[in-house]
Amino acid sequence: MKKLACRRFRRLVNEYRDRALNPSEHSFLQAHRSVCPKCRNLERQGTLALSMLRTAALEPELPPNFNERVIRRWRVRSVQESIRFWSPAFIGAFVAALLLLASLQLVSRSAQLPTVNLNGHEARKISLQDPIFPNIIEESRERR
Amino acid sequence: MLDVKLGLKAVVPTAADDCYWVARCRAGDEQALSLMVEKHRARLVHTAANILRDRFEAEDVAQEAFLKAFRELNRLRDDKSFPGYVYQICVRLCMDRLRSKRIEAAEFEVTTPAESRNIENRVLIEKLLDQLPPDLRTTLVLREIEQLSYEEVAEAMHVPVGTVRSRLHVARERFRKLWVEALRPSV
Repeated sequence: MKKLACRRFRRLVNEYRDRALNPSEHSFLQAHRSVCPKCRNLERQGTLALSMLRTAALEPELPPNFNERVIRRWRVRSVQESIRFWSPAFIGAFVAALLLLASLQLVSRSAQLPTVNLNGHEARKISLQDPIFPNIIEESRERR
Repeated sequence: MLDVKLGLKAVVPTAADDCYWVARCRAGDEQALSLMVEKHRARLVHTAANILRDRFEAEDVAQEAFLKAFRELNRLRDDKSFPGYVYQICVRLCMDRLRSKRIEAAEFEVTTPAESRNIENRVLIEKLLDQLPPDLRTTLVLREIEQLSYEEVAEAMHVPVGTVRSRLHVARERFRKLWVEALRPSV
């Protein structure tokens, strides 16, 4: 029975720090305080500990350049984010440009290759590495 | 210096102007950003300093909170709620810092009466707070030092009011026990 009363007392002690208790709760606290030294001591300790916590609150002084630093960091972040946002596009454009250059190079090279007329067929551009090249040479020898 | 450059002394935003300034912040207006920082920085730094118990870390967290808030302004549904929004981010960042700090396994040093008399109140409080888990510590600081209501603590920590109530009860009890333990010979 006493345990229950102690538990209720502790709960109410915690609550009265945050809200106004009703008269019956108040009278219960007073009555229990007078009969239970253990709970009375716990209440005193709790009050002291919390008041000590409040007095130990820090009151930091704000540095004069706080705003400036935030804005500077904001600018840096903005630049970093825009770089992060646009970098895939830049990389894509760079790769596309490389591919375009490579294909242009191939086209210009094929224009320089020798043309061979194959027995009434259409003229064909070949290079020395073309596997058909030895056959063409043999054919032309036979014709002679 | 920046204030002087931008002529901010003459323009002080009121609560009614918040929507206007937040809209300008969203557009990347640096003057508006600076105004919002000016308006809310004291509260953020104060809260962060008391949760983290470190002035320099508090400044860093407050700056980070502003940057995060500005970057994620598009998520803000109601521009009027910017103060609560940035405060919530700050509290969350503080809790992240507390969690990332390595928990010291060492037990609290048992002090002799002579030592405890010499220990400054602030240092002792820091040691006691260090032994509370981040959730309890933040709840206790927001309620007892920052004097926020249950609803405000719940909003800042993004938890239900019932959770705040129970955490606060546990935090006060643990804090009392730690305090008694630390000062046992003198109490």
